[in-house]
Order: sequence, then C-alpha cells, then structure tokens
Amino acid sequence: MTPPRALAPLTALALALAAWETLVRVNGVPAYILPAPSLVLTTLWSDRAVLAPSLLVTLRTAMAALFLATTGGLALAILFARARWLERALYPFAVIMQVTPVVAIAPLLLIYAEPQTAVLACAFLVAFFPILANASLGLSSTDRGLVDLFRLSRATRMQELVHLRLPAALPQILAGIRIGGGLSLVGAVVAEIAAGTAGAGAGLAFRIVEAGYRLNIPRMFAALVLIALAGLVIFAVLNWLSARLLSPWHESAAPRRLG
Amino acid sequence: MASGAAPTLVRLERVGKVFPNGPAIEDLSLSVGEGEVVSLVGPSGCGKSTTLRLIAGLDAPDTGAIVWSGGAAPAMGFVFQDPTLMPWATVEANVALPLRLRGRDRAAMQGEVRSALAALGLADAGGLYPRELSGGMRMRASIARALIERPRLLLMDEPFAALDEMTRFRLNDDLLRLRRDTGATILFVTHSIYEAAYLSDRIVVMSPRPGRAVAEIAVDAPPDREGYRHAPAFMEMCRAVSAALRTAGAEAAA
Ligand SMILES: Nc1ncnc2c1ncn2[C@@H]1O[C@H](COP(=O)(O)OP(=O)(O)O)[C@@H](O)[C@H]1O
Ligand SMILES: [Mg+2]
Repeated sequence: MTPPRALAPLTALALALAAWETLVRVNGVPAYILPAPSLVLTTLWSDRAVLAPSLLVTLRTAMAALFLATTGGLALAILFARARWLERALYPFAVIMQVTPVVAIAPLLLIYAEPQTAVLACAFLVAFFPILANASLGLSSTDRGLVDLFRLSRATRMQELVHLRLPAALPQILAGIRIGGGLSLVGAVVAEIAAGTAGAGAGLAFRIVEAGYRLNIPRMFAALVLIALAGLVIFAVLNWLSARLLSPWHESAAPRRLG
Repeated sequence: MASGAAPTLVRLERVGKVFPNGPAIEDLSLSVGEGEVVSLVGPSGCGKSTTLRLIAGLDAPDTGAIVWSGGAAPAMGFVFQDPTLMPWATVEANVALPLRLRGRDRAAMQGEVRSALAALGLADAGGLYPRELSGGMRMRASIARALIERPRLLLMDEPFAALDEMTRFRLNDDLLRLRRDTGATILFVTHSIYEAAYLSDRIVVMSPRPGRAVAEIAVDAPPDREGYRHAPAFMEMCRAVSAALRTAGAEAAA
C-alpha cells in the first residue's frame, strides 16, 4: 500500500504552518507585522461578511472572462483554420495583445470603460490568447490521413469541422482552457488592484489593497488565502473536466495499464 | 476471373504526376478488370501510393487520363498503410463513419455496421477504442470501414506492412475469403513479393521513380488458394516477380 498522493504536500503544508505559528508565538511577533496562521483563519471567519461577497465578485469576473475567452478564442481559431489570410492578418495583433503586460493596459481601459467592464476586459485579454493559440494549433494539425478519408467520403467542410477537426483538436483546446482559467484569475486580480473599485463591486484584490491602507494585515492574508483557494478550485475543476472529456481515448487521461 | 475476359473497371492511360522535386510517375498505363485482384509492386518511392491517390481522386494527374467503365468514378474504399482510425471514436463509430457522412441515421445503419464488424472478426470489439486494439485488429477495423459502403473498387496501400508475419498471413487469408464472398475488385499495393503472389490474379511491376508499369504477370492459382503458399507453383511465381523487379531496376540504372 502506498499512501495517497495528497499526503506528502499536505504534510509539508502542515509542517510549514506549524513552524510559522510557533515562530510568531515564541517571538511575540505583533499581528500587524506577521499574523499567525490561526489568526488568519479566525479572520477568515470573522470578516466573512466582507470577504465572501468579494470572493464571489472575483470568481464571477474570472469565470465570465474565461467563458468569453473560450467562445471568442475558439470562434477565431475556427475562422483562422478556414481562412489562412485572416490568420496572417490578425495573428500579429493577438501576439501584441499577449506580450503587453495587462498591468499596463488596465489604467488605459479604466479611462474608457466602467471599472467592472474594464476588469472583465483585462481578465478576458490574458485568458484569450492561450486559448486561441492552442485551439489554432490543434485545428491545423489534424491527421492528414483522416482528412483524406473525409474527402474520400465527400464530407462537407462543416462535417469535416464537426466530426474531425474539432474532436481531433480537443486535447489542445482543453489545454488552452486550462491555462486560460488560471490566467483569467490573474487578470481579474491585477485589474482590480489597478481599478481600486470600492462598494458593491469590490473584488478580493481590492480588499487586499484596502486592508493594506488600514494596516489590517490579518485581513490581507485572509483575502490572499481566498485568492489562492479560488485559483486552486479553478485549476482542479478544469483538470477534472478535461480528464472526463478525454478519458476514454486520450493517452494523457487514460487509466494506467496494470502490469 | 484471372483471365482477361473480365470487363475493365478502370484504365490508366499514360498517366503522369509531377511533384515540385520532379516526376513521381510517368507514362503509367494499367487496367483493372471487374472482380479482379491486382497487385502493384515496386521499389519504395516508385509512386505506388501516388497511383492509388490518383485513382481515388485525392490528387489529379498532370498528364494522361483515368478512364472509368461507367464514365464516372464509382464508390471506392481506401485502406491506408496506417489504420487511420479516429482515436476519439469507438470501433463501431469508426466503421460507421462513411455512412454517417452520407447522412444516414444511426438506427438504420446498425445492421450494416454489425455485419461489417462480424465479417472481419470484430463482432465483440465494437465498443472498444482504437488504443485498446492490437495492430491487427486496428487494420481489420480500417478494412471494415472501407467495405461498409460495398465499394465497386477497394484500394489498399500496403495495409499489412506494419504487422507481424503471423497476423499478416491471417489477414491475407481473410482478404481472400472476403473477396470470394463479395466479389470485390481490389487494387493492392505491397512491397512484399510473397504477398503479391499469394493474393493476386495479376501483378503489375513498377520501375523505380519515376514509376512506370514495366511488367505484368498473371497468376494462375486456384481461387481459394488452399495450400498454395506451399505449392511449387507459388515459389515459381515469387521467383518470376522477383526477376521482373530486378530487370525493372537494372533498366532504370542503365
Ligand atoms: N505530396 C508530395 N509532395 C512531394 N513529393 C511527393 C509527394 N508525395 C509523394 N512524393 C514523392 O513521390 C515519390 C513517390 O511517392 P509514393 O507514391 O509515396 O511512393 P511509394 O508509395 O511507391 O513508396 C516519392 O519520391 C515521394 O517522395
Ligand atoms: Mg507508399
């Protein structure tokens, strides 16, 4: 019997937290310099009225951005696969958008758009490119033999897309979405910090900035923990979804053979 | 069926195909009769695959003509050297693909798919994915798919080249049986002299690139090929094909 795979990282985490807790208590470090893990935990609970709505705001932004980036990236990739000249014309701009750091774009977007729209746009921008690039690669690397086979059966271009190119590209498309999912959270957080929106639309990143001004260090940590957890959840959900969709046939998701 | 009496299904007339790096086939003439099994043998790179692709309509010849008995090209099945199965689809869905692309609904084609699977010994494998099959079973699925529409002509491009010898022998016999049951016309590319001699009614020998048909050998063997693999006539046939191939190579080198 081997121990479950989660055991090693969980043990490491527990040890690190215990060391941190001990360090803070033994040295009497004040909470405004470094709060103990136990204090962060209690802050998570006591500040839930502020933190929970903010968590929802940030998650909703990231999910909406991922959804838009997925539909947009996939649609554009399909267009690119149909018309190479369009790809040659537009791809450089997609690259420019990608290599320009979103922190630099956010203040500009905030001039032209409502803060919430601007935050969504930033999250969309960072998630969009990996989805487009991966889907494009997948759609253009269909097995030549299968393409010949479809032509032999006089398949329409629509049939070729639906029954051949899209399913063949599914592993790459899902890889793009997995990357985009993590990046949409990064984009949302960065844009929230730049926007500094208060009130009902305030996301978790804004709470960090706000708590920083007030020297409420335990709340900063609590919000940070929630952001990390949100990222983990997005990662886990997308990995699970991807494995489910690929499991019967793809090497990456197939159950290991015994032997 | 081995005789020249069978009406011609397709005739290639001085066909040529040029790729950017030069001509692949040149002045290639050959014909395939209804119900005939014709093998195309020749050194690697001589244009055998190109010839099949031209006949299938996947490429167009640069010179010459491909003439069909009915005027237009009939339904054709193509078996590639790789099984070329869709990894995300079950064996059943792979075999049903040509019917599905013609817009047939699932329920109506169930029976056809099942009998095609049974004919190739895949009755129990319909629900499996390609990655779960052996090489021989993948090739069987590929052949079942090519036969699902009862094509007038079956084109096979070195279908068994990647298989081990035992599997290959078994599939050779299965192909002969299929041919007997369905009366299919088959154009079969191979670089194995033994396979050509065992399966064919007629063997067309091609020269090295640019490929031309340089010899034709009629095989005179019992239709069921019972025991033919061990008959002296079989060894004689192999020697004849081998000699024709050598001559073709020597001519090109001279
Ligand atoms: N699409 C192509 N573009 C350029 N050259 C090709 C192409 N297809 C085949 N050839 C060349 O044409 C020649 C004949 O190829 P092929 O018909 O595949 O030979 P064979 O099947 O007899 O081994 C080879 O030299 C090959 O490199
Ligand atoms: Mg070949």
